[in-house]
Amino acid sequence: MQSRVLIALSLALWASCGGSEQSTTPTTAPAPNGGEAPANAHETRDTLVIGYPADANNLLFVVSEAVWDTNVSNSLAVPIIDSEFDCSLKKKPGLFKDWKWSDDGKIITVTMRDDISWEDGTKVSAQDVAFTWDLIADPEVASPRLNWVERLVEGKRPLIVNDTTLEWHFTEAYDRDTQTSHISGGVLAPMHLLKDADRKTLRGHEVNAQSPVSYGPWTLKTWEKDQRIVLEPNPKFTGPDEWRPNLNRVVFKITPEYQTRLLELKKGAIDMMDDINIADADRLRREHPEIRLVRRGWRSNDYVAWNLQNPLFADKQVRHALAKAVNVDEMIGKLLTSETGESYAKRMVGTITPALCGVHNESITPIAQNVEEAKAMFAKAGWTDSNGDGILDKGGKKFSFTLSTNSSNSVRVDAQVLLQSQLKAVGVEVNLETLDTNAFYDNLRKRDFDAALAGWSAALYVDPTPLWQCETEAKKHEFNFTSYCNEDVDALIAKGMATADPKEAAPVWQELQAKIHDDQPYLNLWWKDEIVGLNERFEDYQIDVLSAYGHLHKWKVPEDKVKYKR
Amino acid sequence: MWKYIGRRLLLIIPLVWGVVTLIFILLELSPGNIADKFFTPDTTPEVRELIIAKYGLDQPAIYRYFAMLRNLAFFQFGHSMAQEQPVFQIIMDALPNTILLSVVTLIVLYPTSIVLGTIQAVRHNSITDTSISVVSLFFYSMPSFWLAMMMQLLVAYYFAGWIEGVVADGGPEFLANWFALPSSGMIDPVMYDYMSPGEQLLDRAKHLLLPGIAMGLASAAGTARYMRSSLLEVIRQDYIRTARAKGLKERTVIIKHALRNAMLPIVTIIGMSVPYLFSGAVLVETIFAWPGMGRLIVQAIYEQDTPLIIAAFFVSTLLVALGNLLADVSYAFIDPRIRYD
Repeated sequence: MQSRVLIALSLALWASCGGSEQSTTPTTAPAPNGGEAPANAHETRDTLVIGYPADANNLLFVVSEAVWDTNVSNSLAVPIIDSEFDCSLKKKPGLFKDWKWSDDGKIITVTMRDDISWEDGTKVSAQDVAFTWDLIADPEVASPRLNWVERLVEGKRPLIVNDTTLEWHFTEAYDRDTQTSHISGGVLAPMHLLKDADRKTLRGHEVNAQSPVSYGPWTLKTWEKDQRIVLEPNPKFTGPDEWRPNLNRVVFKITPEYQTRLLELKKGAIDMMDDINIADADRLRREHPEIRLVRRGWRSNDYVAWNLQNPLFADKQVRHALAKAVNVDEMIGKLLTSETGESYAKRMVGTITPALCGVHNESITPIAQNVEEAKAMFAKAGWTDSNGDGILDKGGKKFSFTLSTNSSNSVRVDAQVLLQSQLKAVGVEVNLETLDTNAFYDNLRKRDFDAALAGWSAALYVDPTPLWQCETEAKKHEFNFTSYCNEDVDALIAKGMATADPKEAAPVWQELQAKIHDDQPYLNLWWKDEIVGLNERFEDYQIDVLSAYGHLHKWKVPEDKVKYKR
Repeated sequence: MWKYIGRRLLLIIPLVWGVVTLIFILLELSPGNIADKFFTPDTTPEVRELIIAKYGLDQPAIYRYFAMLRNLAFFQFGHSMAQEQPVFQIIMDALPNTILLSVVTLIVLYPTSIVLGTIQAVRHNSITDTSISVVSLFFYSMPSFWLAMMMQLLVAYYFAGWIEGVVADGGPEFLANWFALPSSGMIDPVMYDYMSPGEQLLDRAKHLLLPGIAMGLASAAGTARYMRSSLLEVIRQDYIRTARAKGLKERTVIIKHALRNAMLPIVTIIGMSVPYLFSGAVLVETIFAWPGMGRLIVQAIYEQDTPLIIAAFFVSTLLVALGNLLADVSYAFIDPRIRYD
């Protein structure tokens, strides 16, 4: 009896993991030269295990929305246009060998490589590119990237000239970095497999959601939902040798809990995790020399948005006084500096990341704390403590407001308390509110807040329209949380966006930053660095502002440091 | 008996209806919806409307509510909004993992609690009784998520690290194979594919142990208290005195005569622990990266994936109701005096 129970339990134990496994074994197909592509032609060794906070949902780029999806799907493709980041996005040939603009900047002609195939042997062609952009443009697909085709001429987005040449026709010329990002960011959809698919349910299609077909250096070996995603070198890869992976495997181990990931990084059960807290980074540095800590610079910012529809914040002088009352450097020292004195933040002066060094306006000096000046500015604006209760008032109304933030961000929650205490010193009463992230951003979009401690991720090309352009009945900008509107700024946005050459546009963007900084719709706090932990045995890794998982095919381990022999 | 079971099964219908209605109302009242995750500053209002329409969120709530009830009545759970996969398939992937974990939890929970409770009752007011009480209360007072994290740290990190150190210094390799427990997941993500079937089985068992103990231990401590007081009450009964007077061995008296009657409240607790196993699993599954129902529900709530949330609660409610029914029915088998009409 006991043995039967044990056998039953053993079978259940074994069967329990099998249900969701998608083990994809690509069908063999001849390589272009007629034979199998040699799988072992390129030496590979060791495995990279990444502690991944969430599983991917969908690996078809046109409908995927999460970074957890794109980190994986990018590895299954040759980038359409490859990029590196050095002060700006430096475009390099990928699937598109070269691209050139027409004189009026409205047409980009691209030439594709002719040696790239899907792993089922079908050639990647111009038809796949056109099909992918057709999916993006189709309202039935409801792609979150529909804005990419907004300024493309219908029927010519792109126009297929021949199997390897395409023309992209734009309705207007605009910033070239943005233009190229609209034709090259992403991963192609296989036309030969999806052309007859129901577009309304494309997200759930087997080819996208479970067994995507690769045309890149890696292939999806195993995808066990909520457990692991395993990539192996694509034996059918037909691209250039320098794109062939150096590692045997990359395993994304799905581990939602931060503390568990951290413990496994220390233990060596995983080799890499991102978004490490500063205090934990200090401990890792002290106790685990085998873990290399890599910074991803200025990826996200934090700011306080003043709701300009609230009369309390309508006066620019008051907003400057609030900025002068706050000691941001002290906050950085307390919240974003390691015990060794290393700061993981830079003062923010605007929403253009300092990583875009040619565009970021370095001449703007962040507002320094000066309590006496702040008090004088409040007094000049009519705010004084007339009844001696320690809180400024004007016409019988107290200077009191609610500062909201989202509870899931511990740095913001701590910053809220510091802001409350610093503003109290100048007679401003701040009530604190922490909300669930969804509720918080819902309130921001509805403008249902007084002041909000929020943040943005850095965009690596400049388009200030959604954040700073005046909202009209015809053109809503729900992310212009502060309801900011300045005609001069609108004119600069129009000018900058119409300037094709990024170098020519840079002075326009710098002027725009200065104007917005002068208006102070945000109390600018900081740009933060993200800390990534990686086992020191890995070399040639690419962890930068673009991605923590850049060009995984280049990562390698020296022979004497290999951990996983198979 | 069958009439009773039939009546209880019918009562499950209003219970499930109440739960899904409540969940639906709560989801409607909560701010935002699944379409929000698609929105970035680059998203145009037209795209926003398209995505909202795609998920049917432009329909009035009352229409969506009745559509949901109609579908649930036919066990049609629809498609997950986030994963765009059939909800039934997603649940069927997660449910066996939770059931497996729950079975291990029950295996830890009941033998441990029955043995401890019996020892305490038999050695009433002794040092053993007091010591077990103190230790039980310690684990009983501990939240399961904290216990889970402590077990990860002490067992899977320090102890496993020490064992690996011993093996690295020339100790027998089986120590690491058998006793170095992993800190999360269901399998070794790297080496599993290269293991023999026997090794794979051992690997899965090792991954089950810590989450199973974390979920079972705190409950076992509480259940041991019930067992102790129940057995104490029973061993003071006349028929126990009679059994002793007949000259039966103390072991026979306790195991054969007292234990069976003292077990009755424990069976009730088994039924009542089914909801705990699901709610407790939410945190423990997240900490141990165990892909079960608890983690599925948490993720669905974060993503505001309404069909998946509703279906997950629907299935959980059904299981809880059936668990309670099973406990009630099992009374009749344990105690012949109980009859259901």
